[in-house]
Amino acid sequence: MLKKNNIFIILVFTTLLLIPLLFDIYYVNNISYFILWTFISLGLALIWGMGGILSFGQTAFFGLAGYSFAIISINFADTFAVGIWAPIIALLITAIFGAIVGYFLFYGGIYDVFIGIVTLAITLVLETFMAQTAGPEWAIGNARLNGFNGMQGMPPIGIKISDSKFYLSGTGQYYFMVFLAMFLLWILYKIKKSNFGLILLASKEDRMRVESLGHNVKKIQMITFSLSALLAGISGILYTNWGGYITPSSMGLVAASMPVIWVAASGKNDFFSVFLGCILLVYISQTLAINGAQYAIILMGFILVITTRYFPDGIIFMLKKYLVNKSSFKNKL
Amino acid sequence: MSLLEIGSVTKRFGGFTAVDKVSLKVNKGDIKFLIGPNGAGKSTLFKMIIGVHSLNSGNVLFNGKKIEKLSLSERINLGMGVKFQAPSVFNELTIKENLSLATKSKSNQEIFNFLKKFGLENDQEQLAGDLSHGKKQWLDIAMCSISEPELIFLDEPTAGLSYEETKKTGEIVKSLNEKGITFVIVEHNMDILKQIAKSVAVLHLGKLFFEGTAKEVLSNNQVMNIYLGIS
Repeated sequence: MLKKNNIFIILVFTTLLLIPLLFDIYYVNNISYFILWTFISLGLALIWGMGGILSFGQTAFFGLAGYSFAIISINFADTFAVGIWAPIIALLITAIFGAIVGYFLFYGGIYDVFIGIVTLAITLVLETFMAQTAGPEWAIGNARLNGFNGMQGMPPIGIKISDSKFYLSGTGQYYFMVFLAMFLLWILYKIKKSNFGLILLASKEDRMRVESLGHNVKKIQMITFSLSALLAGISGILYTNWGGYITPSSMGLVAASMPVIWVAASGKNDFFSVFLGCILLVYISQTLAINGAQYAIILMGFILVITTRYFPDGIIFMLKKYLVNKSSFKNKL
Repeated sequence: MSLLEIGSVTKRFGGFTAVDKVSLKVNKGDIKFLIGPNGAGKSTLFKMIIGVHSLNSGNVLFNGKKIEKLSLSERINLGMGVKFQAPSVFNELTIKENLSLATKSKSNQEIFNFLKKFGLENDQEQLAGDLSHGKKQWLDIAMCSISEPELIFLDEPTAGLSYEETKKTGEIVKSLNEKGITFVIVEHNMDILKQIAKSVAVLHLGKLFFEGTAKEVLSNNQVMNIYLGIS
């Protein structure tokens, strides 16, 4: 028999799958935009919620993947199936970069608040570097980096076979994101239930004790860091594909703090709450930003304060728990 | 050949020498107690052997293999088990999950039977954080012994335990020793030492002060003088 929690998850995904049938493409594209941010948040939930390692570096990996995808696909625009292998190579670059950063962090003995400082520094260094690449000398092959204006004009994800084009846009892009989210949530759930997940959860409590049981904690944390970078990279590539551009501001201080707020407010220990919470919070930010970007930032800060003080397990997680328990209460009547 | 050989190991913290050229041998099947007053260097030596502290000089051999350059987890995988001073169980995990972290190859029935020794067989789904202090200590010992390592280090396994709990801890260690596991135990409690010790090493001011059987140690006036203040 299905657990009530699973019924809730199925209901949410059924609703998401019905949206293109009920709303026009403008709304579908908007909701695609909200969903693309869930992958960076899920990556943070993995490294922070399960591993106890707070990283501000998610946006660095987001930007790296976005820029890598743009650079590769612009340079090889005429090569067959560039829209398929360019995002894959960009993801590989991001995961390898994540593993390298993770190696120096964990094998270098950097832990706790210092990880937050180092990862934030990496993000800001990347942003600053990319912002000063406006001159014509800053180009990789045919791809001009364009400084603060960012890159645009890259071929989209997809493939062109003779006269037929299968590009990721509109409703197709929306469904791709929903199915990808379902698949990745399932993978993350499997990781959580695995021995790897158990070691990661335990290392959050006491690293040395886990080592003393014969597990190589540093290696496991490095792999997890790389996986979380990969998830952030998925968001970066989908973002670049969605809007057809990528700018250094996607790696700025505000951008770096947003995933932390979304994940904390949603409930960092529950992947599905993070997925749902991220969609809702990005929607709220977007709606407020129409009247001025500062309102969204102020509200997000306020939500973080309220969450930290009153809902340490996350507002969305608490709401989900309430809804699930409420339905079980009704069933008993 | 001894199971563990510690050859003239030294550890300095700045200008302070915590462990000074200590040499020790632990034979297979032994239950060796490491005792001494506070500041004698027992815990530092313990941490040097398991790889938490690096050595300034000397070497450590396990089964004839040099291990001083290996990490903690690498040493454990050679056939060691470790229990630290404070109970280091994972409070947010169940007893069963705690044990799963310590072994990959045991079936549910084997885990159940193993937990009987510790009186924890019916609490498998309980969170470790909800256990009493005594049960946490036993779970901690269970975690380092379930994979049946050749050598187990216990740092103060009876700290905070009642007389009855201390006695039961001694019985648990003795039964594991009878199955072939060798123990090195850092302890202050003389009751458990009298109950199960096969050999004792006394440390004082970072140096090996005396070595012998429990009876020899307890009847040595100099040891009693430095350790208990009895002359």
